[in-house]
Amino acid sequence: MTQLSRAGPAASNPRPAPSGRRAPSRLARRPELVPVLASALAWVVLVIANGPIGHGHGAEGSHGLFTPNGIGLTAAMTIAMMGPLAVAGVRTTAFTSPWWRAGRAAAEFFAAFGLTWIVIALCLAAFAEAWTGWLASATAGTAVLVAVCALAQLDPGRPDRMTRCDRPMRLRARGTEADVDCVRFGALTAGRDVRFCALPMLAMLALPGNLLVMAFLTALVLADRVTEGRRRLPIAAAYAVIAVVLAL
Amino acid sequence: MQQLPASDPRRWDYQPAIHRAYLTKRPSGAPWGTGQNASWFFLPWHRMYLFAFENIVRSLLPEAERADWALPFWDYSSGAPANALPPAFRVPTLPDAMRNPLFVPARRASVNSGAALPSTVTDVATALAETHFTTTDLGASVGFGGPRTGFARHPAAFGGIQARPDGPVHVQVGGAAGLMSDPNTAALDPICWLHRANIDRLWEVWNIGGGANPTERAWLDRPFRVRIADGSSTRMTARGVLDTVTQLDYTYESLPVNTGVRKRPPRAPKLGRPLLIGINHDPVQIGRRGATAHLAVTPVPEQTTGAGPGRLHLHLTDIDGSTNPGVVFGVYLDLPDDLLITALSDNHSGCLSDSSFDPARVDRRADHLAGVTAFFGIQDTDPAIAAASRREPEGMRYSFDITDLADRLRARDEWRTDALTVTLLPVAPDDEPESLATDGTAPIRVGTFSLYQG
Repeated sequence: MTQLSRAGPAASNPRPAPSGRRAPSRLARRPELVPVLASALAWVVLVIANGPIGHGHGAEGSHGLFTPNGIGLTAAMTIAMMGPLAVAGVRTTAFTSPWWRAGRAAAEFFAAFGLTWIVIALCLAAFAEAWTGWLASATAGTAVLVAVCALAQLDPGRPDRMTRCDRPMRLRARGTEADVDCVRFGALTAGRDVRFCALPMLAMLALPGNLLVMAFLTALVLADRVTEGRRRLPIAAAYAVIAVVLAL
Repeated sequence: MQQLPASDPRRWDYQPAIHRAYLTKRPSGAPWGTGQNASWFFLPWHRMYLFAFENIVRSLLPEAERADWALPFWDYSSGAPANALPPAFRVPTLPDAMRNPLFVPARRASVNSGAALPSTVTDVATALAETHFTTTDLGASVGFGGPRTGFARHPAAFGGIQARPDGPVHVQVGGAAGLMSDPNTAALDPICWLHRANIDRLWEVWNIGGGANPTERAWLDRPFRVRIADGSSTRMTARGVLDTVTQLDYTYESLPVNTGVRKRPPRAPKLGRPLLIGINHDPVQIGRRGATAHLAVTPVPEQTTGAGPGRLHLHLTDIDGSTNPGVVFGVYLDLPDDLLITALSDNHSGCLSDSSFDPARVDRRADHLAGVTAFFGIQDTDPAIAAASRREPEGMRYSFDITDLADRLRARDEWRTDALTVTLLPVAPDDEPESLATDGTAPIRVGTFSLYQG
């Protein structure tokens, strides 16, 4: 047991914030700006690349997945869809990190979350390309995948498993180990989301460039998470409607 | 109820399983394991649970007695003699020599002998002083009723009423090996129902004192299934249980008068989202004798806020363990050296020396008391125990508003701006049998002690 010196008057040289920070950054108080702005930027990029409705050159067939352009568009689609789902983890990371590194912690979490999902998305995109090629129709392939999304909603254990998605993790407070923990937390959170978001993302990647379908799928993924799986039937119905519209 | 057949959903051991599914054989459709804890649903769900229990008991009474019977409440905060276990629960046998069904040997022996519960355990003033039912900010007070749970959730945390007196009374009555100390078995002890009735009454008291319930539909209309007196199940919502008189046909004796005055926000201004200014480096293992954590603190510069330092909250998070040691701990800030060392010294049996609890030392320690923690439900944080029940391990978080305590310590020049020492010590002498009064039980681990300013 270390001996404590009896406390005297308030220390005349209080420990200053590291790195000369004088005030909390805006990101420290509003860390959700990171994923929200990143997602918004991604949508802007997609609209510019594909046009407002999105039936651009990527609407059917291969868009050169493993070209720089293809990888870039896949990354943009991933951030656009998954960015909002990082809000919970970004907030937890920022608010459980000391104030003088909260903005950095939020950025580290989101970078790891986003990069992990981009890697996952590239793998899914490769599968989607093969799937739609086998069916000889991207629209039909997407319709089938969206129908499977509807069926997946009917799993009664879904709400319980979904609570795992945003489980917090102890983050160390200082130094490189704090950076490592934030990155690990971001990657771990992305990994937990795969079970619930991989199918809609696969459907989205099977019809790249169709921003309307992508917007609907993103909205349903977000609705599913916000309601924590307690609105499975309406969301399943919405997926089913999209599948039927695509099939017709 | 204890003599009903196993197939009857009104039987005694069916009721605790509604709270936590501790029985392995679950009847089809049984609403087991639906208990709400560390959530803003804690109070309304337990009100539904109590209402159903009361009606089951009433249905089993002779017709002539039903109209006049209501579930009693244990008002342990009103001082002696009510701060001891009611006599009817302490005698092992009835006057006719039959076993007393209200007596349970699996309690703290001193409680069964009539020892009073410590006032630090039964204190309700802190909870009743909460101005909000729930909050969503990490780093702030959790509120009277518990945190709003849902998307963007933070670690599960106990609301003011659950942090004290609910959990501490459970653990103080149950002790190291008692039914009350484990949420899975607490309701098997008949005193649990009187304790929960008192918690429900305190909700009424808080409302009468100006506390406002949430108005969000997510809280009001979330349905829960409840077994009623005829054994069938029905859906109930918080909206349907807010007015105990008109909706549930019961009230409590000696409630305060409703003055219509709403609770006001706390004195110090809220500066926006709280920011983490202090944190420990390594996790802390807490045994029966307690432990100490040291936090390095970097306050937010006052000149950036313009409105003073704001409120301070201490949080204990990343808590896990497999066994509750049956000890209620006081959480003390910056204890002076002599109190710190004295309290952690031990005699040959490993127990805290009784001199640690002489009145002078107790009074001096009380000047540094931030709150109490009993780690009620710690078993639910253990992954192995959770997996055996086919569910996810739960998180645990305690929150203490230490603004006023910090002001008092600052006024006495006992507050440092760059560091904080947090000490957990038992609030009462260790009176458990020697076989339990060792540090052989697996310790509880608190990963993070964090100080928030905002």
